[in-house]
Amino acid sequence: METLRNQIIDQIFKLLAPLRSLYKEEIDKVTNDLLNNNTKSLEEFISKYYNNVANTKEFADLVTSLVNSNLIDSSFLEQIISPKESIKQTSVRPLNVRIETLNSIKKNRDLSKLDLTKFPVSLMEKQEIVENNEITNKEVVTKVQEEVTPVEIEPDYNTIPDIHLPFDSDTESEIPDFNTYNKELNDGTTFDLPNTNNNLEIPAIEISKPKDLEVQTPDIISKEEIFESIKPEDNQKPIEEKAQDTTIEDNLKNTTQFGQILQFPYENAIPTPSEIPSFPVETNQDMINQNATPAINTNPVEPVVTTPVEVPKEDISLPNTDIMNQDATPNVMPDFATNHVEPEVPHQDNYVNIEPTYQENINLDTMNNQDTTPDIMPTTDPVEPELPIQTEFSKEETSLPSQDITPNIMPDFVTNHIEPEVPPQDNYVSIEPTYQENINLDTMNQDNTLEVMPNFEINQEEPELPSIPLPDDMIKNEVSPTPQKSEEELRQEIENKVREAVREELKQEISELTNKTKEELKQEISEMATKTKEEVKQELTEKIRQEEKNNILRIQNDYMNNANEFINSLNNKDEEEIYTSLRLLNDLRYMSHCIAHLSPETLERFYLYIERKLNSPEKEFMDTIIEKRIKEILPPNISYNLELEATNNHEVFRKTA
Amino acid sequence: MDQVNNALENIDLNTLNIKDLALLLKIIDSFNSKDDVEVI
Repeated sequence: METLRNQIIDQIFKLLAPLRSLYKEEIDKVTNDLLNNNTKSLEEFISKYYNNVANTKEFADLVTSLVNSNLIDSSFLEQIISPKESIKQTSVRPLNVRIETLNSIKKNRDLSKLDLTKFPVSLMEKQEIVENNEITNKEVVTKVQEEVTPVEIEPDYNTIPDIHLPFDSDTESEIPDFNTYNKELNDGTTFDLPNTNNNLEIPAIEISKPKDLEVQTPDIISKEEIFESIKPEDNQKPIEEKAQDTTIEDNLKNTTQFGQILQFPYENAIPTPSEIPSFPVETNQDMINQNATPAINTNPVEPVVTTPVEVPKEDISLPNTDIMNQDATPNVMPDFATNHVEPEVPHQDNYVNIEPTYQENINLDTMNNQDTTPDIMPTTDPVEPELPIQTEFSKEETSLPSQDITPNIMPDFVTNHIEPEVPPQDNYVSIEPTYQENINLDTMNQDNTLEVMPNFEINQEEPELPSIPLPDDMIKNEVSPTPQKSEEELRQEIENKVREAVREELKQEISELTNKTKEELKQEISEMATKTKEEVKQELTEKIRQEEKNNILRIQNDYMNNANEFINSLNNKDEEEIYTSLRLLNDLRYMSHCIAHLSPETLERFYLYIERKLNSPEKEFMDTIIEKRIKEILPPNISYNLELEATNNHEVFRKTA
Repeated sequence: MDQVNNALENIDLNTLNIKDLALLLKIIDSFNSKDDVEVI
């Protein structure tokens, strides 16, 4: 299922590739969204440009079978047009399909294989549908008129002679003298400038009869009239009846539908000249035969086939039509017929040019079928009944000046081309080869008209046109070089973009991870470091404090132990030894401490000894200090008594002495 | 499911236009989005 999905997406890319030059942004968006499994933009794109494109019969059958077997919801059927409709609708194909079709035709020149029912109805037909049904409603008419109305473009008279004509050098002398025609224009032959009032008059192509140099005003030549003039009268009736059977609503539906589709390839396509290649490419002869604008006609490809009806609104230049019409004198037409074969013209896929070609084929072929088998038409193609009417042509009416809408190409073409070549058969037979020739020449840029003609005659012998659809494989093969290339480019671009995106994401992730890791590591290290330092400091300080405390305690203990021992030893000594021991300490603090901790008896004895020493002439400064310290320690009564005892002893000592 | 696979495999994508392909994509996505094939 997934591979099938990928195949479908690939196929969609293939189909979109040729349109990428026209709708680059939209198709890029569709491509990206598809790669992201988002089909919304694709649906929008299709509803915008392919809304009127019918589903293929194969797909309709598939959906029908899936619905019948209850595998999918029946709502899908609502999106699918019935197979009958699809045959009708597939006549309108998107631009890329038409390009493919053209390429396939180019390669397989056997036109009998074409399913002519798939080609769209031209604007000319639309116009005639309205007219034949005598639609008087102004709104309807104006709606059709809007579709047909070309855009006014100022004519560039100077460029006309410079445009390269696809003639051989041999036939170059037959190139019409534009100056003379212009001169004729200025001399008073009046042309009605079309489209000044948004009328339908514009797109008509005026081609004067071979011997009639007068410029003709555009005429509306209904296909009924053409048909009458060409066909035997017997075959005409059923067709007319069929045409009348078509309701106005159907016609309007067709017109609007085709109008939308005709608009499709040209929407947004005008802005840049680089995007124009898919636009109609016309030769000078096209310009002569048509009312097409010279500005857009860059490449002379399909001169005859491009009927003005199919030219998009923007492409039609009003003023030029006059000049062109004037140039479309009989001198040009015969040259045109012979000169189509030229190989000079590069081939371009041209939507506008292609369509009319097919249209012509349809008309001619259907006419042909009706000549031989008149009853086939209504049954074979329900959509086409109007066509034979369109092809009807009466030469007499070509000179009617009043009608401007319908181009005169058909009759003139018949007269110019067929008359010299066609054997003296009825007109109807003679027309088809002419168109056939035109198709081959125009669409395929074929070089040899003679080669084409016999093929056509062979095809003409067939009673019915085979409604074999175009082999898509062939189309695909034909078109494959460009789409494949673009597809590869697309793939490469997409792959590169995806790679870049993935790289950037990975880089971001890696950078984020590395940054995160670095920061985390730094934090952890710093935390560890700070923690360790503080702990070490604390530990060290605690140890130091503890040691200090221990030292102090030990020292104090040692001191106390030593002092106590020393003091105890003093208590056992006589007065002179105590005095000499204290003097050896040589420190008043120790001396006072030892004196304070002497036993009371020892202290009394030592006090009496110091008193005697103080009374003697050998007394020293230290003796008075020792005496004061002993007096501070002894309670006052004891010290007084001792002092009395000492004085007594002193007097006794003096007396004895 | 086999029925669906057969039906989808038998169709030639080259014969479909872009509109059909988009719808087919939609159908496949609807199949993939739900386990129950019977109801879409």
